[in-house]
Amino acid sequence: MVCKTYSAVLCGMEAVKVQVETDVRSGLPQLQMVGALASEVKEARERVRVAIENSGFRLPPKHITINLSPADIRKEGTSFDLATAISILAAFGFIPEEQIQNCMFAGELSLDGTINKVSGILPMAKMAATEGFQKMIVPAGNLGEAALQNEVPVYGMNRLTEVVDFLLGNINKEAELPMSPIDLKKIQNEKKKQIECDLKDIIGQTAAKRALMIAAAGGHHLLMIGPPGSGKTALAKCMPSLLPDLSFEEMIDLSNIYSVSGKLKNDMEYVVMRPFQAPHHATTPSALLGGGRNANPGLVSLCHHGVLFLDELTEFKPEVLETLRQPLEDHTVTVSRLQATYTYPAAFQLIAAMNPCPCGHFPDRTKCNCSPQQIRRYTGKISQPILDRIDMMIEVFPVEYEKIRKKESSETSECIREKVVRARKIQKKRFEKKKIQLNSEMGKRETEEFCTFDKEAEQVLHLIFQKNEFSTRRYYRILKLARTIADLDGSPEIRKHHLTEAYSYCNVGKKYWRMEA
Amino acid sequence: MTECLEREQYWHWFHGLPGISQKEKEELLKICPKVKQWYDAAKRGAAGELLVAPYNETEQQKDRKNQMIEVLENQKHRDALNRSYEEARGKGISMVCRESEQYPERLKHIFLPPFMLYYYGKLPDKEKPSLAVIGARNCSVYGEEIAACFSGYLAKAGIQIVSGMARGIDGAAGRAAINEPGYAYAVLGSGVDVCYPKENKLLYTCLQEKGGVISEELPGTAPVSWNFPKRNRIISGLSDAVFVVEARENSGSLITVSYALEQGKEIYAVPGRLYEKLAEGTNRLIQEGAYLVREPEDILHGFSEKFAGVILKKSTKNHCFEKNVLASREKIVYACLSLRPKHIEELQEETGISLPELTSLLFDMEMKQYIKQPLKNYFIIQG
Repeated sequence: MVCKTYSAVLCGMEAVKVQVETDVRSGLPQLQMVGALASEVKEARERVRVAIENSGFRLPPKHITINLSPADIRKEGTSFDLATAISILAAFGFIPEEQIQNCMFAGELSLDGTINKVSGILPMAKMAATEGFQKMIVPAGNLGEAALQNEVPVYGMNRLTEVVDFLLGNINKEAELPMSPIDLKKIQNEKKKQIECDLKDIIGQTAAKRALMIAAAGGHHLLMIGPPGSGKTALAKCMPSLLPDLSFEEMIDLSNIYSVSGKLKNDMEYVVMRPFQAPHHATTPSALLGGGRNANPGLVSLCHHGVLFLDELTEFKPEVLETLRQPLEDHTVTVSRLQATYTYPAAFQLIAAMNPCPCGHFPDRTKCNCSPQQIRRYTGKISQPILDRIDMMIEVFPVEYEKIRKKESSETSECIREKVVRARKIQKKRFEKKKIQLNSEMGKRETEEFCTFDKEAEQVLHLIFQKNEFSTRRYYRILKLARTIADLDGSPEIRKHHLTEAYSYCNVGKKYWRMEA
Repeated sequence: MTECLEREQYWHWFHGLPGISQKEKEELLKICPKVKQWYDAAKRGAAGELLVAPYNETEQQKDRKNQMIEVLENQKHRDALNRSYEEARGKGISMVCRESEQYPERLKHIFLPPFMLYYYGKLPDKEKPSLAVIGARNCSVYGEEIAACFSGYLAKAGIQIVSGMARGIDGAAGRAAINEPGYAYAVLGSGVDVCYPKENKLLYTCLQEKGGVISEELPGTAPVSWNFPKRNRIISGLSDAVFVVEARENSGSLITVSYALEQGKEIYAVPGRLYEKLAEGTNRLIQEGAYLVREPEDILHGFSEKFAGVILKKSTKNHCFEKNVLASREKIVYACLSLRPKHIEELQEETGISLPELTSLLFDMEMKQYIKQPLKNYFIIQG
């Protein structure tokens, strides 16, 4: 007799339904598993057999064959253990077959019969919902994550015997209630208190702070150039505290990615705060973009909806930086490996920091004696296409002694975030009927439509254009940035001072790269 | 039968002979001042006849003499130099030798005047005053601004500006003076047909058309470091005075200054702040007796006696402003600016004006040409 249970396998961000079939017949006592299995799935044979016996079930000496179908998808991970065990128990009649028909199982078994956490539960639960399953049994440790989708009732279990009792109706268990947006707010507020970086702790740097605010409001990528010790890193670390809280949808998006890459640990059932990733400059392309044999998500996906901070940008290998072109442009990244090609979301905000020259003090010629070639060679490590994708460039200066002593109070991150949230609300309303959410995502058509300016501003634009021989790309970039500044100002039209300010952020790079304006 | 070549070609051969220093060549010329004779004798293989030995010749001198004869008579050198001469003519390079009438009068009196000058464009006019503008390569924006402002002004007033077309001060001076056709000259340390540094390519081509690019090196010579101190004697030699804008202690510009002093030229220097590295050289020059320059007129004044007829007296200053044109808010910002570049953030702190308004004010003032941005977001007053 053949008995079927269901589990799931991850293919990139998607889960695919896997049917676990067990056949029991007379013959040499043996347990055999087939169906394109990776070694950790093959090892399930021993784990499952011992776990069943240790849970108090006696398996008669029969020939057992287990097939995981579809047999052409390679099965990886340890989440099939539970489904396999249940399927064997059902085949021997310990559990009535109709009890397991509409149920999805995922979980790893220990030899003593306890159920351990696995990765990728959230996409599996989503798949269960779309496939029309009526319940899903997951390890207790994955419960919170699984309940993020609110269509299939999920039950968290600690032991194999508990699952059997539950299926037999011996014990009653409440399904986990899905988390609501209100809960999320509460958790976020709780977590926010733990954030240590606050802009109010940074002395001076008013211009840089304003630039950060604009970058946060419009989602613009930002490059900070300055001497060592001027506070670039400290400023960047405050970035998450300026961004609005994750919305519920964004939270699910992000938890999905973290679930797939097995990053949801015990203390973090779902991602509630915007991620902030600061890879070391010795990082590799596959760590940044994703890769490995199975094309796992990389850092750029792990900071989806968050901030990717690249400190010492010039120290990154060129081939690492160049790989960022696609995600910076498309907000997704496609990872191709022998086994698979997957596309992961990667809508991150790039904050980068670098020194202007090898010694770090240019253009302060009293300290810097780097020759123009040296400077050009140094800054030349950043290619034009990457620079082109960065909307804002600012210079950061070291704080003077007097200011450190004076300890002027400045705005807190909280205050600035409120302004950012206000500006983002305006943008959300503006793009209601569009697919985009932020000014930085505007295409050519949207820019033409929404970036309207008054007469005075038009004159300024004309003058800037004449003076600098702008490319069209730069033209749209300035307008988008001016739009964000106007939004922060609450002005429906782009005015002259919005434009001049945007222009001041626009081509600091000319000084270092001699690029076209 | 002896072949008949152009006078410059004989000199080109003599000048280009490797392995004999200029001092030794001068000695040879003392024995026989006619280069043509040397050439013909060398070709016949009879250079030794011209080199008459003194009575008490040492063993060393004898060896050196034989080495020189070998170089002089070397067929390969002669062929190669004749070929390079033809090539240079083909490239349109003008040449003057020491005997030529066009040879700059000023150079004749310096120590070791070059045998040959190769040039594109023109040579400086001996009737007009000329000034060498020199300074640091890794200079500050302020220095560049001063060099440009002074050179532009002085060129307009009728002074020829001679510089080295190097990065920094030299280049800035050249670029400013080139606006006045015929008043900008550059002396290179490489062959005259080699543009070094590459980023001054535009200036190099402009100089060829509107001024002059001069070098004593054989055409095609690479920019090797030991040629540069040597060319500095030509820079100072071609000028009536030397103007040093920014120089560190032990700077290469000071080599030019020492040549100039040897040649009896005036030295002008821009003072700088104490303990500032880029001002150490110039401040020392002033301490040692160089003229302290406060405005372009100071230099004009120095030239006015000797070249009374040539210099255009300029009573109106370049930088005169009608302050009334500026709005009151603009005046606040303008008051904070000087020739030292100030970043927009510094201005914001000093004036207390918000960034959006400040950028707008600065933009207007820039458009009215009261201020300018030498570097992005750094502002100075328009000099």
